[in-house]
Amino acid sequence: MKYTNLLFALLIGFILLVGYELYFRSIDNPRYDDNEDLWADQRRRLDDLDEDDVVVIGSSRAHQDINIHLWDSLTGRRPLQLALPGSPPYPILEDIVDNSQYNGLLIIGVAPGLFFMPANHPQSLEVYQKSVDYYNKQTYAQKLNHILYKPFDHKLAYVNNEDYSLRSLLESIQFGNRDSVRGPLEWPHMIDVDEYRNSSMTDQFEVDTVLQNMQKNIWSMFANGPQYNYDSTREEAIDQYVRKIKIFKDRGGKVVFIRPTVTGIYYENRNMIPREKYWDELLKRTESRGYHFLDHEEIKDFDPPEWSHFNKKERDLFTQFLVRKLQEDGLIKD
Amino acid sequence: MLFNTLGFILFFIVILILYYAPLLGWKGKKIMLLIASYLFYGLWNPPLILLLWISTLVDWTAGNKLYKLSDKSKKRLWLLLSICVNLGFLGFFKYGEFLLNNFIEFVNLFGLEYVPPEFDIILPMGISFYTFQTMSYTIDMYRNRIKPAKTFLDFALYVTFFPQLVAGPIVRSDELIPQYYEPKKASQNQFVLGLLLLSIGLFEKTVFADSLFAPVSDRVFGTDGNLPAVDAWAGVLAFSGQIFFDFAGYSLCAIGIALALGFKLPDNFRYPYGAIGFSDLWGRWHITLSSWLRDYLYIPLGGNRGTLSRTYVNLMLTMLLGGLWHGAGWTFIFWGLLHGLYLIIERFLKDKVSIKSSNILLNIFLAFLTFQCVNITWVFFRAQNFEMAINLLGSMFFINEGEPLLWTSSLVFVFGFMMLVFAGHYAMRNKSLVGVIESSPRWFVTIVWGIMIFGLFIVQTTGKQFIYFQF
Repeated sequence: MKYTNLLFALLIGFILLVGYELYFRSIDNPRYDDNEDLWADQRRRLDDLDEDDVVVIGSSRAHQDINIHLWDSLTGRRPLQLALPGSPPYPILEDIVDNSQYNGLLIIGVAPGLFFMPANHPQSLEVYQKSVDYYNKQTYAQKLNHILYKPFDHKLAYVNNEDYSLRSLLESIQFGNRDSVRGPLEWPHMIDVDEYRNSSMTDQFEVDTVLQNMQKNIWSMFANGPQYNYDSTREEAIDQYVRKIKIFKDRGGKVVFIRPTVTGIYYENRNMIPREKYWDELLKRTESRGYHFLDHEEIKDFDPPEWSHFNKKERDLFTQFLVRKLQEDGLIKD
Repeated sequence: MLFNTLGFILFFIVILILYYAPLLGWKGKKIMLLIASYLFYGLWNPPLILLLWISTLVDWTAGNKLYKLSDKSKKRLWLLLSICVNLGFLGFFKYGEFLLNNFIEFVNLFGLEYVPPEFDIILPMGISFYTFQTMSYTIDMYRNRIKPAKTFLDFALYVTFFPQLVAGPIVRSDELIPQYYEPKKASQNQFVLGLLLLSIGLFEKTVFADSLFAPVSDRVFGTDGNLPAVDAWAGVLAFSGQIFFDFAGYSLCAIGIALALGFKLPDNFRYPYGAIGFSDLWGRWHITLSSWLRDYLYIPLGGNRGTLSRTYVNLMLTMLLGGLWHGAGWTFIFWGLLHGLYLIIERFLKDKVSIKSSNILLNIFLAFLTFQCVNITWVFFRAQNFEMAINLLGSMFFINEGEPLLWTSSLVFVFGFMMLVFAGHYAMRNKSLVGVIESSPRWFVTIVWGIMIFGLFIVQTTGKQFIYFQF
């Protein structure tokens, strides 16, 4: 074997890669992967924050319905975005309370179906593993890889672990599944995130009703699937928040809950986890303020394109609403 | 640090530059390799480098004493010290929790409610590999089979050499240490071949093991319920493919990296799924561990020199320990027990039945039978517990029935690909990868290599750990 073999092999690999990249550029834009490392980057900043700072935790609505850069321009402080899509926020709340000295404002997004899961629910454990546990155990090698990976991540379209990794592409090859076997979910590309984990609904998704309907179908499937019996662990779930929030407040921290606007199946099913038994009880027992979309005319009639998350315009309006309310209530400075 | 990451590629490029640039003398290059090896290990968990240092110091001292002393009882004490330190670390870090849990269950049998303090200890990456490697040094010294390394640097580099530090091959001191005595520089052929082997190894790991097989095996072994036989077999075959490509891929990377630096490491895999019988299998699967167990356990126990029943006992003990080496759990021990039984049955049959090895069809049948028996053992290796393993075996052999789980495409991929793997391994039984590469047209190898490099770019399984790191 000669050096020329090596050089030609590299050249062949490079040429194929250029074609591959051009193909994916023609169908999608380069964007950040919202992965464990990006979350860990943000979590690392928590220790530098002070009492005037803001941290957001919660599920996808808390992640997608707040524009942290707009917030920065309105208040001079950019919130730390630690909300994780599809996740109950308790493991992250527990981490902030137990493993940091942070004592600023904590905004906690409430998506009832996720929020009121107990800490030992498999979904909570999964969140813990891909966020807090990963952050705690992140090795120097993993940090180095992330530093090297990051420039490629948002400069190359094909570098997108969730959608375009070989594994994902292989999964997309499907033929004739047996009756009871469901194929992989086809998640449309709904949001882009930046290095601060600020998310924005894509221009395409905002106008493309095909993509919106794909997403609605997934939500409907979740809603029609087997449901967790929330009443069986209601006390336990609320207690866990009460305990941690008390510790947080005792050291000077402030807490506010948010329940952004939903429509469609989420609105119709809202009484499966009744507000009086859960949301109201949560606010009462944690002695915290909360902004529920049904209580505020300004946001009540928002119309998320796929029932659950705001487009850019409504996200910004919601952010302005939230900043205004928090200032009125003295939870952040004017 | 993992080979299949951007961090390692950068690390290796820096090493190659420092190694081949005319900046350092041979001693300087060895020091650089040693520091790089500690960095390679320490980027995962720096404090655990201490274990490596202690192991290196103890075995270096013990080795020198064993060489110089003539008093047998004193020699035995030094050997004992070395073995106690090495096995002590291994026992504490790898088997501590397992032993404690078994102790609790044992005392509970007598109605005692023993609640131990919480036991949360990190398993140092590759501890089983470097422990066995350093133990072989002192045991060989005790047996007067080798001479001590000329310098501490040579010995420290033997213990820590980064290509094979965390997952083998387990190299004997007389295979590697003498290579440090003279300046090493890879020839053009060795350098390029080394990088090609590294690419093949990475391709096996990231494309085959992680992208093709892991999703299927994870789904099947992550299911509590029963499955149809076709799904159960697909899951087991997927794990069979995953563990082979994961581990053989790592070994190829290690061999290729070392070769690019001018060092030769021993083969660790020779197409094991083409093996005919189980002694043949263990001459092809994780060869450096099998030969370690043979030389330092099976033969000292008496090997096949005693009665037939004694040979059977020795085989079983060796394989039970082999199982335990892989993991601190009863399922791993049972995996070893099954392999022990296979070897005993094979030996028993060999004494009774004569099988013509020139009959190709019979050989293919026997190889296929061996492969399937191996697949059954993987169930215990991969399952979290016996209940899951028994359930899965029940599904595989039509005793249990359950809801279909896997996509049709997964079934096609796994069955199709594993058929190719079996056929490929059988066809390559008497060949070597390097031999095939060297006898193939260069243009063909170059094109395939280019496609593999492309595959490595697009696979995007950044930093998925190798299975054998946990052993």
